[in-house]
Amino acid sequence: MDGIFLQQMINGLTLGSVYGLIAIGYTMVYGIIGMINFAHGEVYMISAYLAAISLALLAYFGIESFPLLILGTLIFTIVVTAVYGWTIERIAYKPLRNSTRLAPLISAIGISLILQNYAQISQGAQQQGVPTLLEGAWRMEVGNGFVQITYTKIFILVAAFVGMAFLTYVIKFTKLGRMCRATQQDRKMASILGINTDRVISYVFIIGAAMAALAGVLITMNYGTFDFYAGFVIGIKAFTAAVLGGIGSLPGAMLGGIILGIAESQFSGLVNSDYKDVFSFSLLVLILIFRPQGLLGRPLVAKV
Amino acid sequence: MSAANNNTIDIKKSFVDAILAGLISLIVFGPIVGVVLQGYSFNMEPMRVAWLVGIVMVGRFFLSLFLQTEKGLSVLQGFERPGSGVHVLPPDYKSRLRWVIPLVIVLAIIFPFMANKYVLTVVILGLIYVLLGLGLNIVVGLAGLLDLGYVAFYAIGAYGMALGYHYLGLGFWTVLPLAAVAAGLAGCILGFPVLRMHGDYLAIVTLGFGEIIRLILNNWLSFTGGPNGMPVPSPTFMGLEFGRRAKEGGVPFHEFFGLDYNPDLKFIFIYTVLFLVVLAVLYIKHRLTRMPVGRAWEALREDEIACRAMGLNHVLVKLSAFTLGASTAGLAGVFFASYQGFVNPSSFTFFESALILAIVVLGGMGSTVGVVIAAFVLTVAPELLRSFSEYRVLLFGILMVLMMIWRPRGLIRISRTGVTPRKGVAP
Amino acid sequence: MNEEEIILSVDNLMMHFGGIKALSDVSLKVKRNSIFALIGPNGAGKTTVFNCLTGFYKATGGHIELNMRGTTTNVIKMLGEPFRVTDFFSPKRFGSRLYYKMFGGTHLINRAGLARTFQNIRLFREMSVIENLLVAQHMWVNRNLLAGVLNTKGYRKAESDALDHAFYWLEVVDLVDCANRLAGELSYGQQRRLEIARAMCTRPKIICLDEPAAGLNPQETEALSAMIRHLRDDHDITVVLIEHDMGMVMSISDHIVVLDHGNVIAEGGPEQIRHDPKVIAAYLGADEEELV
Repeated sequence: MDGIFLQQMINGLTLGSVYGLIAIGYTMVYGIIGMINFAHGEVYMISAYLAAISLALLAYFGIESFPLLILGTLIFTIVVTAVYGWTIERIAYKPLRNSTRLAPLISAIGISLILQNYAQISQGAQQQGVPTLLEGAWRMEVGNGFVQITYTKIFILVAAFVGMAFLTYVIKFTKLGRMCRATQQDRKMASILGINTDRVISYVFIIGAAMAALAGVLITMNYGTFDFYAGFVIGIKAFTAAVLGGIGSLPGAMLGGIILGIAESQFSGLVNSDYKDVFSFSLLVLILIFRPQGLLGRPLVAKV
Repeated sequence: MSAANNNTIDIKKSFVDAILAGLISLIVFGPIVGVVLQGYSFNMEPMRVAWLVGIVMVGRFFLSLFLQTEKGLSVLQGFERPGSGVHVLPPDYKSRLRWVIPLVIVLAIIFPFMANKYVLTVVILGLIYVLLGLGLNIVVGLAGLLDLGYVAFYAIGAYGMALGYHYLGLGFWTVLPLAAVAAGLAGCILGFPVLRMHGDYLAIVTLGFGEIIRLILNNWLSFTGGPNGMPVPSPTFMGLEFGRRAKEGGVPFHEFFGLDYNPDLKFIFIYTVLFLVVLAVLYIKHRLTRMPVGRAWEALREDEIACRAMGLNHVLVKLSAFTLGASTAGLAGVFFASYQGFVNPSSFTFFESALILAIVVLGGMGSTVGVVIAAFVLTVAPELLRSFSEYRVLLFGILMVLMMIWRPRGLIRISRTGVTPRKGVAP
Repeated sequence: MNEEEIILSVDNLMMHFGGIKALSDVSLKVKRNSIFALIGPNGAGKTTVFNCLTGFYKATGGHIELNMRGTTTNVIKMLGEPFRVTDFFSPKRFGSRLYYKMFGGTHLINRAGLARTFQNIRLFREMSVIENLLVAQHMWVNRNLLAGVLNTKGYRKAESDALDHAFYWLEVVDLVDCANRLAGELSYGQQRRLEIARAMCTRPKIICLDEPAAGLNPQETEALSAMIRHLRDDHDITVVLIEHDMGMVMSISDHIVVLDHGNVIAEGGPEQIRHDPKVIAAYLGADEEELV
């Protein structure tokens, strides 16, 4: 097998698992209130800043062991980002529950602009970075080349899969998950049955933000750099992943993320890396045209 | 709730609210505002956090107090009922502000003789945004389609001018209609497959499309000049140029008419043409809202399923709105390119789409006058408040969220024309 | 019944949603210029039949044919069918299928002459009453953009005709006073009537009414019955309705079909239906074995 192909496969898998994490936020929010949360990409961007800040703070306090650093960063980032998710829902979406269809979308665009500019003003427009946490890589000879998997990538894969498995457990087997699924099926009925749907919607935003935070920590570890504009492109891509897998479907978001990540990596490895974003966006348009229900989604039947 | 209970204001509750809000804002603002990254290290900025948290707490405290008063309660209840703010005018209604239209036209005619170059350019920019706002208002305000990649059609117009001149030698007057057609065509091709789907997908597809266009303009160095952009020629009037000296034996405008050379002449010319185009677009839009197609757009925004049951092809009706909006942006793009003298991809970022959307949101979904005013406010105000330019985008964002919460229909009340009752005729 | 008299015929209609069989085998024939009622207990599939007839659902199987204005219309074909292998050998069939896939849809059913109302009222709430009726005449006015922008004579004439027509139907449903009010501001009963007027403004041959009497008081129901008869007698309209108000159904219908669990269990005139044991069982919930 071709070495480049395999290398891109692995890069794609790591990238895709992170897309999947962000896509979860889109898909869950869409499932529950039927709205595209445009600000979700920006939540991811904020979490990247938080991860870098947390690493800087921990380093300042002299913590150098990798497990402590990563654990501290994960907890800090996930908690603070979850608060962001909650606050955004509270301020920008909750008052619009009974409004027109466009209002929450426009409000989400507003929040997205606010967060971008807020990060830019408070942290500066320049690129930010974090030091490499995990050195070293695992190499393997393949045919006419070799494949290199950094330990960071392995960590990302493991962490992303643990995150997804945990979320699947929560949604499938806990009371909270049952409430989420009930609210997703029929919000009115769920509230008649005594579920506080407003609170469930808040939880969904918190879960989505937490997953984006996990993704933020992982991507920041992998690439090392980010800026205030980072959330925009990755947001659209994660949304593409959610649509590809079938919007509203949790396993679909994960599957879609991985497929998109691999497709994008292969495209940039084999064709042209300048146009890899164009490729992903075109993919989004094509999916929406030819299979709007995605891979695992059910076709929509309009209620008349 | 009885009025007697309402009069007691629970200050303690407001305090609790304020403290909770303060805690949340401490968590939210603390890390990002308080710890500024510097390489792999950081600087502490505790004062900024304290200010922000303080503002949030005071704001929450007064908001909480206000919402306990009767007026506040009525505001809260206002959120519950949807669909307010639209009214039907009596059949023979004549606006008392009709005299404003001739006044504005007269002012617009006098204006170029009074203004200096700077004011002229600011007003040209304002008019370009009026055009963009009107176009997007057809799409978002009338047809209810959220187009987040509107700037792509603007870019098609602007680059159409630059590329048309560079590769085909086309001038301003040839490109003007061609750009409208090209942008409309692009809208058609993008819209046809997408518009048959659920409405929200359109938003994300157009967002992606806007980004695709920008990336192509940026990356295709050999064709578009990449990030450096391309020059655009000055417009001409009947083949007369506006420079001090014409190229290749032509006659400059000022010599032909025996005027003194005026370096602003190019801008006065652009202004004049642009103003006429804006007037035409305003008139067309005014007619459109009263025509079958305009009614169909609004009906589609209200209820797509009912429209389909009325025999309206929802895809084609939406497509007509999308296409018209796109071609208006194409026109605006040509003016922008000519006015600026060169184009580069950085003029066509997502922020630009967001700014145009903010104009539509502020001006009111479907309102024409509102959009004209909002376009000027949002483009001219940043020129006046240059020291705040850093916060421009932040303000747009806050504006969008607040408007959606407070007045999703825009600042100006939407009115519908009435009809004189008559005797019906049996079919 | 003679073929010419049948305005709408449904054969072996099937509708599956995933694994749920909403309709298993429904066949019915509607006579021209009659009042046809579709009844059945909740969940029997009445509204699903309606949605298939009016083109909102693409039926899984079966055949629906409209026969009016001198032509026959195949409803399912209008909605765009998937390609078949044979299409790729016959360019004409391929072309027609591609055309309906691209431009086909629910609206073509209305243009063929079938209008409908909705169970949960769907008016254009933020448009005036008269505008609601003008939108419904979209296919009958001058839609030429240039004529509209220039406000030509022909355009003004077409608009004026549309207004005449709209006011005629407002008179029929007794809403002339409300012409300049927002549709969303009207009372429930008025909104129901406006929806019928709006459907009539599309100038149909068949009108499908989905629970028109739901939420109306006895006087309003009486007026509605009179209006439905007026449509049949004076406007040559065929009325198909779903209704739960048995008094009304029995008094106005010419022909009734009873659905239960996605199957036709009985059909006939009001008298016949009233005494059909299967119908009584379906409504009262008795087991079929007990009856036999």
